[in-house]
Amino acid sequence: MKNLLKSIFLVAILLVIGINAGAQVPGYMGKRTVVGYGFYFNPAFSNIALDYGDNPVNTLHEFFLERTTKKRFAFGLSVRLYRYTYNNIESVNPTGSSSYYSYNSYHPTGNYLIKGRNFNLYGKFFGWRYLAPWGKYFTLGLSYTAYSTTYDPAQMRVQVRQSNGSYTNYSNFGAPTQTYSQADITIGNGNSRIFGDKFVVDYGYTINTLAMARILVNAFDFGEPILASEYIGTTSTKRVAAINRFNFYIKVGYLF
Amino acid sequence: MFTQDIRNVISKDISDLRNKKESDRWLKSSFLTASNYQIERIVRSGNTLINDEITAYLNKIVDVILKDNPTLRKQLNVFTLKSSVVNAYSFDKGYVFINIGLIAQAETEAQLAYIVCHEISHYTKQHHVNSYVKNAEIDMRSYGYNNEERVIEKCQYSKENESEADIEGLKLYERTLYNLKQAEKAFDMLQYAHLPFELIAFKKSYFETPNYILPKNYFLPEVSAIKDNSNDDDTKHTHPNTKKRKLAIGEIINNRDNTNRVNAVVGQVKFEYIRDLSRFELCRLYLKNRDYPNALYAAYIMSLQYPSNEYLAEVVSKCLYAISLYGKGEIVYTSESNLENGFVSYTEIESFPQQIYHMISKMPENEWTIMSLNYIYREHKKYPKNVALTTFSDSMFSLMKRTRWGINDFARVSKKEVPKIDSIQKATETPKEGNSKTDLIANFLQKEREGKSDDTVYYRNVFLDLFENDKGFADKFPAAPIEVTEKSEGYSTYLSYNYSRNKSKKNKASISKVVLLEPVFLEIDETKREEIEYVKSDEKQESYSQSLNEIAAMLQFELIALDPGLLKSRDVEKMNDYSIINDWFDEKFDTEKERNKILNTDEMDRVVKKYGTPYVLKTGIATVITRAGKKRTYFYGFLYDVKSNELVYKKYEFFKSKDRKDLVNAKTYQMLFELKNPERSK
Repeated sequence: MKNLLKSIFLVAILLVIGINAGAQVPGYMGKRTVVGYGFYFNPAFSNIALDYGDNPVNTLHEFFLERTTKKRFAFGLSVRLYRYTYNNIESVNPTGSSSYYSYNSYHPTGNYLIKGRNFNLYGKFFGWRYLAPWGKYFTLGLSYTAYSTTYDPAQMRVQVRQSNGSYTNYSNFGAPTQTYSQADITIGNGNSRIFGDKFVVDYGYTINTLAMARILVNAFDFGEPILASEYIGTTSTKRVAAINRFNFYIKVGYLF
Repeated sequence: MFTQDIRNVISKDISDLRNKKESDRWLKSSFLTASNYQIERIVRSGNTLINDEITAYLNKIVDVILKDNPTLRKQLNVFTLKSSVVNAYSFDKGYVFINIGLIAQAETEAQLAYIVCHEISHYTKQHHVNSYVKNAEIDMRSYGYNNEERVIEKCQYSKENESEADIEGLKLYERTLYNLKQAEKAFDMLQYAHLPFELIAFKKSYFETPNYILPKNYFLPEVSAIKDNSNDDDTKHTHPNTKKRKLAIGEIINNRDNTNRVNAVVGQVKFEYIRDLSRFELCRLYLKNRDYPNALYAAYIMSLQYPSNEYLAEVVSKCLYAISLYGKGEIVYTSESNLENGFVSYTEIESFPQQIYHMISKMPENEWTIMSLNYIYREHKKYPKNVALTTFSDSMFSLMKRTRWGINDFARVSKKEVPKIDSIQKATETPKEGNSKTDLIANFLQKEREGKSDDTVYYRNVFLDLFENDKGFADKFPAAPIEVTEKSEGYSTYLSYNYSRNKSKKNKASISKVVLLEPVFLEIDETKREEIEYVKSDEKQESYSQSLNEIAAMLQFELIALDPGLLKSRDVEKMNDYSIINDWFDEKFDTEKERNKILNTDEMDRVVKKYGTPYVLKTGIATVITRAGKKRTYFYGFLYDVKSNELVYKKYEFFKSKDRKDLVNAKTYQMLFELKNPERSK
């Protein structure tokens, strides 16, 4: 999978740089390439209210390269990075038994770590009055999310009361390090401004449509305990969806 | 530089005001800013004459008036405005503008001198600034006034100023040797300023030739009388009526000694020469305004004095040709035109010019075409090297195709001896025995309908001598009329389109060299009393001009800037070119018809040749803060091919934001890029 991803990324870079390299598209004052950093954020009130995580705002850090290929079109590549913990707020069913009244705790103790990378390939469609990379635009793209989770079995466990009254610790939530991936379709709107003919400030919002759909579907999930073997996979998917579903962003870049 | 360093001037004026510590200084400072810019705009508009004999003459009159007051003389700047309106203006800071229309009307140098004295008095009494302050005060009063009362009070104040300028002007005038009676007569001249500069009966023989006698019914037996409006109600006028003004001045001068006073100090011959120059220029201005009846009458009067003048022949030819086109619906007037509704009805015209309006109104368009061809072709033969006459003559042949008549409908060989004019006139004007008036009319109309002509039709023999003696004429004459299903070609294309509502239009061929007319930048704040932010506009205009040049250099795009703000006094020729191009645009935009013909700006060919490009770019930015506090920016760029009279590129866009630098740069770059790379800018 990693090799495939690398190949796609490489091909995309070649496309960005290569396509229309010799073509006379206007660009902004003749400049058509932007590289820079973007800061993505979205309010995460449920983190605090439900103790999913510790931050009231989910944040992502992006590095991007964009190239204008037509008068009102630019496309870009980016990678967004994020790192979060999940506080194990969801209930777990460690034994697979249907009667779970005997649990001492519904939730595993401690938390686990999520480290994610989103690889994005996107197009920016500028409004008819604007001139890429300057102006207001609509963005449409593909996102490939790859993330890994890590937990410490010594800290993350569930105590189950036995029939004799004693307690047994369960801490098998699968491999300590697990990797997951998912694809998404992103849409959004933004406005790109240019200062001193060199520096780009780009702001707007983006929606990961499938992640958003997932959040909506999950809203009807009334909290059946998750099997321990699926616990990290299920909860991390939700957590990553919550990070990516909707973001405001501000990006700064250098135009050349 | 032709003009002032406007920002410095304003800043000095405002600083002077602060030192005076007057209570109304904020109003005055707002006025001074606006006024300085208005002057700047007028001088930079290309509508003032520069380095010319007329302005030099006016300055000599001012020298005469102020020979004892060199300080005041130094403060005055006199300009001649290219306007047919009979008026003069005085601005703060000693700028006096005299219209060509006024000079053309003046009967004596003394009358001109009195009007100049009047304008100087406006300046010395600071009427301009005081009126501004007074009007602002009236507008700010919120109780006890309705709009009408406000208007009346403003007019009353203005009238007081005018009366004061009349009296003060007379004091200045009295110190000269000018005839005092001419000051009084100046008001008569102003009273009848709506009439042409001379009233001379228009004779139909002007367009007649031995074989071509115009019917009498196209002419009025008697023209209408001149109305006396001198004592009209002036309550809502800015000036007192002329009767009052004349009386006030009359009372003073009646007690003065008028002996040894003269009508001309600079010189009678010089005055008449300058006035004639102005009258020639007036013909041009009428043409520019597409006021063809007035141009025709003015040229007619001048041609009586200068019967062999080529320029006048050209003016008359243009008028005839243009009126032919007007009759065929090719020249259109709209609400945006100088003549909103086209030619005025002859019933509204006073005195002798009424004949021309009557003739235009009564003569069928095809007959007008015949008359025009007859006149224009003969003038073309007289002045074969005159390109305009040649072009108009050729165009008239094209127009002839669109009449009902072909070559066979005109007499080409003499059947019998051509009767003398008098007998023809008699034959056409006297009803035949046994034929009643109504029979004749019916007969005439029938012939019109059938499109046939015979010996009794007055225009059958019009070209007889030309057919017989001028092979070129016969060759050019259309063999048969064409079916008029589509409009045919002529002087330039006759096709006319309505303005496209599209906000953009792209050129097809690559363009990399254009003449750039002064770019415009206007900053407007609708929340303020003085909505235009003059100083900011000027600063941004300079910056926009700089951006345009930088971007053009970046794109290797040649911009030839004709910007009066940047021209030096040695660049008079460029200033004149700027003026010619502006005239072209004035005529172009006199109607919303996109491809109305440009008939009156002949010198454009020279300008195109000189700069090596037919493309003229007009671009600008306006930024507006609306009453609701919202910011809007408008960007436009129009590129015209002045040779083919075509809009080849159009960009008009607006943004809900202020005029940020990136917006300005992006749009400017895009515009020039698209001009240069039309196929690559998709």
